Amino acid sequence: MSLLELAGLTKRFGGVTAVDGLDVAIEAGRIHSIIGPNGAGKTTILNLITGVERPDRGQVLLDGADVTGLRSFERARRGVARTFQNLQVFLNMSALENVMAGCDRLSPVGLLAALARLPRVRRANRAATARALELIDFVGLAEWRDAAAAELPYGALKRLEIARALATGPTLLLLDEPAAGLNARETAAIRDLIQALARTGITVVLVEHDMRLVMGVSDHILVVDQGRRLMVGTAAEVRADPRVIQAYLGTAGAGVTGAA
Amino acid sequence: MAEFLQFTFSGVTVGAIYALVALGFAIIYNASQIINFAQGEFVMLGGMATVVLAAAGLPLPVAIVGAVAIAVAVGLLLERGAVEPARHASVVTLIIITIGASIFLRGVAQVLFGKDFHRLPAFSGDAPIVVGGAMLLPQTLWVLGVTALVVVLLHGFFTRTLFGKAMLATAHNPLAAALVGIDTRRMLAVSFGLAAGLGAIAGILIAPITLTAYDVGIMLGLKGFAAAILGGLGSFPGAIVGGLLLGLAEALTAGYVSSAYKDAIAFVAILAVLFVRPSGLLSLGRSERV
Repeated sequence: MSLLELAGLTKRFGGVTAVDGLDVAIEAGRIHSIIGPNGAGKTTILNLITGVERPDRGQVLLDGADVTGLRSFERARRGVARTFQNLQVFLNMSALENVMAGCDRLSPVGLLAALARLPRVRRANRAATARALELIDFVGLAEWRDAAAAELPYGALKRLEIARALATGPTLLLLDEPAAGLNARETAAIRDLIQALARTGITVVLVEHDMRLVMGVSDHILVVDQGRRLMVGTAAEVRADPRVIQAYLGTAGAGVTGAA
Repeated sequence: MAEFLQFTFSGVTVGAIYALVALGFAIIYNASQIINFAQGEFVMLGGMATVVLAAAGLPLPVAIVGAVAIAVAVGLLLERGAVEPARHASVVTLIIITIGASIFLRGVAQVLFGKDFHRLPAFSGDAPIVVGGAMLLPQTLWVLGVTALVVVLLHGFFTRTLFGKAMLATAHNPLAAALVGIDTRRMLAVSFGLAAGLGAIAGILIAPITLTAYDVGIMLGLKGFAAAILGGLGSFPGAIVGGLLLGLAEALTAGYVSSAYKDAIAFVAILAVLFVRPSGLLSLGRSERV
């Protein structure tokens, strides 16, 4: 059974069909990328998977179970985590607290217990702090851990979002343009991080415009165009497919064809 | 000197009450940007429900716990019944809903409890303690002690527990909070429950000193709001400092100038703050970045 399955997923915004009858199955324990020209519906697909948007038609299946009707936080509790193209960090907290907020689902306690800080609440908090510190080290932010999130540089905030997503204990991690705005050195570090994540058994779905990054890390690549599945394949297959080149560069006009 | 001390005592007492009410405003504002104008009614409910339960023969501590529970239940009902269904409306609409709720609650209280003033016995007698020539009521110690305890608990809750962090996370970015597994609707309900509890505690503590009636929530709510604005809306330390400053300013004005101007102080303070430092004395200086 696939970890994630999208069945006939359709989402319209007014007259625009952002995702159009998409069927995709994603196997566990790999790095999958979604690529496509601007406006192809990549971020909308992530929004549909995480419950930020509801589809007009079709289903999202997680481990074979239909989660289409579940809200975002319920899907997060079933192991779906994500980062954002434009950062969504809790700027009113420190770096460490941001990651701790992601640990929330691991230690459900009642309000009264939390107010009184009962021993088990203290234990849960200590455990969350320890876990958050580990994750902050893992993404390479040890030096920033007590800094206010608002003071972190852009590249560090991208890593902080990844650490926070990991804190939820995901089986499926969706990364929306993790390398956007980063320089070559930072991008290489993100690539290493993604590969390290995949080695821990987390299934990664990557939406990214940096083709070197995508081609370098992906086991499978899904190419979408105008909300439809154009093809699925390995990096080599995608690179060689004329349909992909056409989708990116547009349908060749008569003049161009003549020149070619 | 004794006179000054006396005014200070009464200022700090009432200031602590304003601080509790202001904290209630801050908690709901932080969770939702809503200014909950029904906050004063929670204060009224706390005092009145204690009076009624005590009159029904319950021991005072039981009556107090019962009254706080009733106020919390009303707070949760208000959130579920009036705010939650209109969740997608604008913040202004939601604020107007809380104004409507406050009028409704006051009306129900008037029907249930009548229009008379009610008295609650002081928790540990009325024999004043003389300090430096000024009279200190034992109830004042209760007010200050309980307020300090509540502040310490809340501080620990927001800084040291995951639940508290989940609330702060929801306040800052509900979308990201939901996506890390935080049930943001529950957080809004919890904020109303907490604010109602705080308001009720304030109303119970002050009832033995000032008497209570169905409409005490109007003034106490507005004063708490003024304290929250004074300290910086949404700031917890600001709510406490604002409450104490406002209480002191009122008591000193009433003592040295005229008690006729006492209530005007709060509103002059709001105007002054809004002219000079619109974000409040201890505002967080919110920085937005993209």
